Amino acid sequence: MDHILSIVTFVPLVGALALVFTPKDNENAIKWVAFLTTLAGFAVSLPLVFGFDAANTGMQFVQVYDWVGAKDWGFTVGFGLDGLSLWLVMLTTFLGPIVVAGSWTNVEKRHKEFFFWVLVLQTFMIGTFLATNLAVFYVFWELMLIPMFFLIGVWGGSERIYATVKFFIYTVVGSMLLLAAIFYLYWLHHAQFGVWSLNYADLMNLEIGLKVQTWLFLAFAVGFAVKVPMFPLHTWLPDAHTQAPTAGSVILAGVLLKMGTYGFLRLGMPLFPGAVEEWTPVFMALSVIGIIYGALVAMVQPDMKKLVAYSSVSHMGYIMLGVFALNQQGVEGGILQMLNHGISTGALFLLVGVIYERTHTRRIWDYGGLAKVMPVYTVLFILVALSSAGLPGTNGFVGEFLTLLGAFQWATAESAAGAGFLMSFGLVAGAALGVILGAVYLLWMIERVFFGKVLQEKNNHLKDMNTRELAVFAPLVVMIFWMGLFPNYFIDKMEPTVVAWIADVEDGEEATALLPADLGAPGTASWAAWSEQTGVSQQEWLAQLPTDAGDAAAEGANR
Amino acid sequence: MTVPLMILGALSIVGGFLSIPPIFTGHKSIDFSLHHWLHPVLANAEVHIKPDLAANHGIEWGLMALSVAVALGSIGLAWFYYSGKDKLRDFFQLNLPRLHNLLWNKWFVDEIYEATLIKPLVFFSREGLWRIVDEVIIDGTVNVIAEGGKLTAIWVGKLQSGDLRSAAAVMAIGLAIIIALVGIFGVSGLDLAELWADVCGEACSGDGAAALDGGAH
Amino acid sequence: MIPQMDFTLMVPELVLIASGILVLMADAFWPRSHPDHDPRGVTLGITLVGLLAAIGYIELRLWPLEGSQTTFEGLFLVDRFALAFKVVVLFGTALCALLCDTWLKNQRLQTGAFLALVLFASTGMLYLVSATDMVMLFVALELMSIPMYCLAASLRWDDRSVEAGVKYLVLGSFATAIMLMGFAFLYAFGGVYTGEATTRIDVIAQAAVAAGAAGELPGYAYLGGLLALVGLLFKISAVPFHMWTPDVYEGAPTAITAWMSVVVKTVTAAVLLRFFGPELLDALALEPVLWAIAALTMFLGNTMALTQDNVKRMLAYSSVAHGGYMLVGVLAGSAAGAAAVLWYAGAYTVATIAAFAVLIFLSRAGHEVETFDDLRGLGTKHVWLGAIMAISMLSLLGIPPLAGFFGKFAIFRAAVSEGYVILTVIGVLTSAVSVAYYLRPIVVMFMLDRHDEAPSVAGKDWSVKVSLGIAAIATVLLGLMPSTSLDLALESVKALAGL
Repeated sequence: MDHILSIVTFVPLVGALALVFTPKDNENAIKWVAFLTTLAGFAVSLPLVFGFDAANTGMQFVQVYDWVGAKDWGFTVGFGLDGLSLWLVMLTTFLGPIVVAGSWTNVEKRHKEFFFWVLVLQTFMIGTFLATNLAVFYVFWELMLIPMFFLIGVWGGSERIYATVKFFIYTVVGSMLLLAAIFYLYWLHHAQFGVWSLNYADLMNLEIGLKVQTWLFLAFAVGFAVKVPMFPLHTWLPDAHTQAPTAGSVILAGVLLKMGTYGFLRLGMPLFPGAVEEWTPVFMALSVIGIIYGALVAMVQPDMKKLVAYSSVSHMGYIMLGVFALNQQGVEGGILQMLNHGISTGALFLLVGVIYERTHTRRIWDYGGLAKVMPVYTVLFILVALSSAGLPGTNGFVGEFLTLLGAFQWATAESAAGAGFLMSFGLVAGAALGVILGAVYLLWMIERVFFGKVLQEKNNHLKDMNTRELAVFAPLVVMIFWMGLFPNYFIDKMEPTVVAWIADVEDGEEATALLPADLGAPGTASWAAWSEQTGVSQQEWLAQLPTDAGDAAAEGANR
Repeated sequence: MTVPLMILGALSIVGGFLSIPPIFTGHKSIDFSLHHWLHPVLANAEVHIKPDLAANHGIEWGLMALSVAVALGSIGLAWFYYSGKDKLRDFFQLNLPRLHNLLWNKWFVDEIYEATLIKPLVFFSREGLWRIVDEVIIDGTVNVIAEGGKLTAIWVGKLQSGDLRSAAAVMAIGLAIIIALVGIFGVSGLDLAELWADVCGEACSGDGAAALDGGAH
Repeated sequence: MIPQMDFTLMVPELVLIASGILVLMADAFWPRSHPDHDPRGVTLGITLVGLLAAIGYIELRLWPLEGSQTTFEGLFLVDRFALAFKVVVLFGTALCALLCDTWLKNQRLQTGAFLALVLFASTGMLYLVSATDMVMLFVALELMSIPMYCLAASLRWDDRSVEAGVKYLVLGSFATAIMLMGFAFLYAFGGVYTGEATTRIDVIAQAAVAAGAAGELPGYAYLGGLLALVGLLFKISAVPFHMWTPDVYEGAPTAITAWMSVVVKTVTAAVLLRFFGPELLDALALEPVLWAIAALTMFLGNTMALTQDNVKRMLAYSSVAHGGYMLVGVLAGSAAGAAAVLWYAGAYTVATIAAFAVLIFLSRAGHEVETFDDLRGLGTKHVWLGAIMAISMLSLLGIPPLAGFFGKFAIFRAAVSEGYVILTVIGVLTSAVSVAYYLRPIVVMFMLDRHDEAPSVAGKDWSVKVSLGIAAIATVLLGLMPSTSLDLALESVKALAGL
């Protein structure tokens, strides 16, 4: 149990290495190796759920290794799991076998490389979630791009090169800003504590004034916002999703998008709470714009995959809405929505893949009346679509409801604090409108694709889902209902961590108010340097703060 | 089509039991009540409307009776209207054709929706949001930046004419400029760093100030 | 008076000279009747033995010596700083020598003269790193450069190659002449200020610092410092002295380009680190100049590489950018900065050689692989080659955990420590730009299809394979063990006076 986290992370990589030695003509062997590896990966991650101590709000199963080649650099290879990342890791390992099984028959060439990249990507994604050191996080974050780049670029659709290069460049530019900020934090920690470190725990000790926090937060935020994706940095997503092979789309939607939101949760918000407080209205607004915009544009898409892609933009807006609301319902709703989105939208992409495999077209107007031809498929599709739209009884409802509830509470607090109608209740109303629109674009697509007349003669002869395909969807359907009817199982495990996280961020907001705004800037990195620069000592500064907390802090500094 | 309707009807009969108002149960909770089932999820968010029991009973009963009456009444009216003699229907069609038309076409709600909400919304989404915002503005901005990079490369590339003399000229001119700059700023003491700091404040200083590093390395 | 001559310190250089002479002799005395018209095996063997012997001697005999040793009245300095750079240069040269073999056969060039020139140029580089005095520096610089001018032009029937050689010669001489002028001014200043005529750079530097502190630095000393810097900036392809780089790199034979692009920058960085430390830069008001040049170089190198169709030219511009990154390290000037530059030079060497090696490996007689079109689909056909090219591109781009990432990390960390925050931000942002052109080879090799028959690599000689393999493995290994090797680098730079 001690090493479980590294086992979970590296099992897929071991499988990938095994693939290297599998002869490339033996398609069957390749697929089974990949499938068994992902299945093993899931099995190995199950003890994480059972062994998880919900009451413990810190990191669990912690493993720390020194990076032999990088001592004193503060690059400790650390893994840890807490309530925020538990379900995300489970989502990743859960989707693994599903993705492999879903791609059983639709990889057209070079199977070995295809499944190699899928397995390698698994490792990198899990590593990002489990990292407890910013260097490890960043390494895995960047590494994730490479398999995705190849998956889209080699096995994708007709515009795949444009899509994959766009994806890569968008993400890398965001990551470069992230890197610049990481460098800065690295240097700042050394300036304030004399030790080079990038461990999360150590970085939380940094005292950063509001001005510097703002810059750093924005750098982090852009890097993460590209991945989420938040409006207006979302335009890579439709192209990447549409051109990617089915497995690529499922992984992209199912897990990769969550990286952005996870980044905000794990790093962006706890490290820079003061800036978060200032910028929340902006991010809330952007989230709501994303919700509505994504839904509206989804509505008019002629390509099914692009429709689902834009729906992703819309759904991720809900997640960000919940997270930035900074209350228990909102954050729990947000995390739940992350899981829901992974399952529902992943399932939607798989479904589109099923039909694409048969007819090689994704255009809605090529279809019609499929309900008569493929009834089982129809039922499944409608079920998943309704879960995506948030039908009560399905997972989508719980998440959406909680997020909206959290947002509403935020709006109440905001308007009590003097914000205008638009920026408080107006936003939430917009988000609620998004629920309606969500139903609109999905149901309209369903109507045009499944009902009415069959528009193309050859579609009359389509075969319905076979056993393998049904087996792929069975676990997803189970999850849809499990999370929809008994969400407590999932919420309970993360609740204490979420509550503690919110408390941390709020404490941080208060603490930031006590610091001079330019503490942490190049010339005034630590209290000592700041005092030297301004001639005011720490005690004096704290004493002149107009709050009781200031006096108490001054007392603390005096001791 | 009738089979689904029958199923839905059957479920409707049972469905009501999911959340029986307390007025019937004498304020005892029934285990499968929807309210209690959702309770754990929403515990922190619940706002309890304090039931003012004595006063509201009458209103509650009244409302229930009214809604049941309207439902039963509509069933009766429809039965009468459509399955009885055609007299009522003919009467309406002859004497109040427009009213009949309006009611027959469901108050034209669908058509009104189509014209005022759906068509504009779809048009706005397709042409406005998708084509203009996504493709022209956002993608356009990204492409402009990329083109900008490319154009910079091409424009600067014009300097690289491959001509030996111009290469040497660039070197010489570059050197002359550097000498001039060093002469003006370096030798005569005009401090660029100070100028820069004045312009953009403290956060910008980046010229090897020793005061930065808190500790020795 | 006979100066003190301790040849034991100069053994590596002498070994190289001897190897060069032996190579020439082997070529001269090769029997006409022998089936191979060209003593390829022998000459290559002598070259490699010479290079490896030099490395071996450095490791075994010179490294254990503590502190700095001088000989020839202090003209020739050996300290760990110099030794470390020498090892990097020799290693790079050995890898490139391996690359030359098949290619020389295909081009029907005599290996003798060719390899001899390589060896002599390497000797020049070693002397350059050990130079303490202006004249010595100049001689070494010319010893390094003149063979390179010839080597660049070695494809005598190819216009571009000859053009490359001529351009390199003319512009290089121009730059060196400017440098000499600078040296003249500094010599004058040194003589006037200290009262004794000396060409020792460190003495003059100290005088300059003292004079600067006292406010007595005359105008021509400033000029001298700047002009002297120019020659070095030319070699490291800094803006605006980079104009020769694209044409020369494109025209020269690929193996020579590979070699030139890595080793020349390495030694130039070493010389800059040794002589143009922070104090001197400050005294001569050169620090803002270097700052601006570094920023411009990074910017220009990265943007210009974007629109190139020729891989060699693209790599040339990208090497300009890498020179810029090294200049940032030079500017940082601390022990960490110097160590970072050394490490970066090593990482950059192996990654670049790997990339060029792939190009060479795929080329056949009369059909060089040079443009992106030539590369299409080759990754699909020859997966390992594509993988190595991908590793090389990603390392140069700076993706962890490859060597390039840590190199940039170390340099930027040193820069930020010394307060160069804005420059670091510029560096990071221009790195972002480099994504576009480093991705292109990978995209082209793996995701596009060929229009014609892909070149086969059957029967390619072992030499290129060895070089390729070593370079690729080194790129990955350095990335996995960054601080171990960096500590080694740090130790070696501590020998540098003033750190």
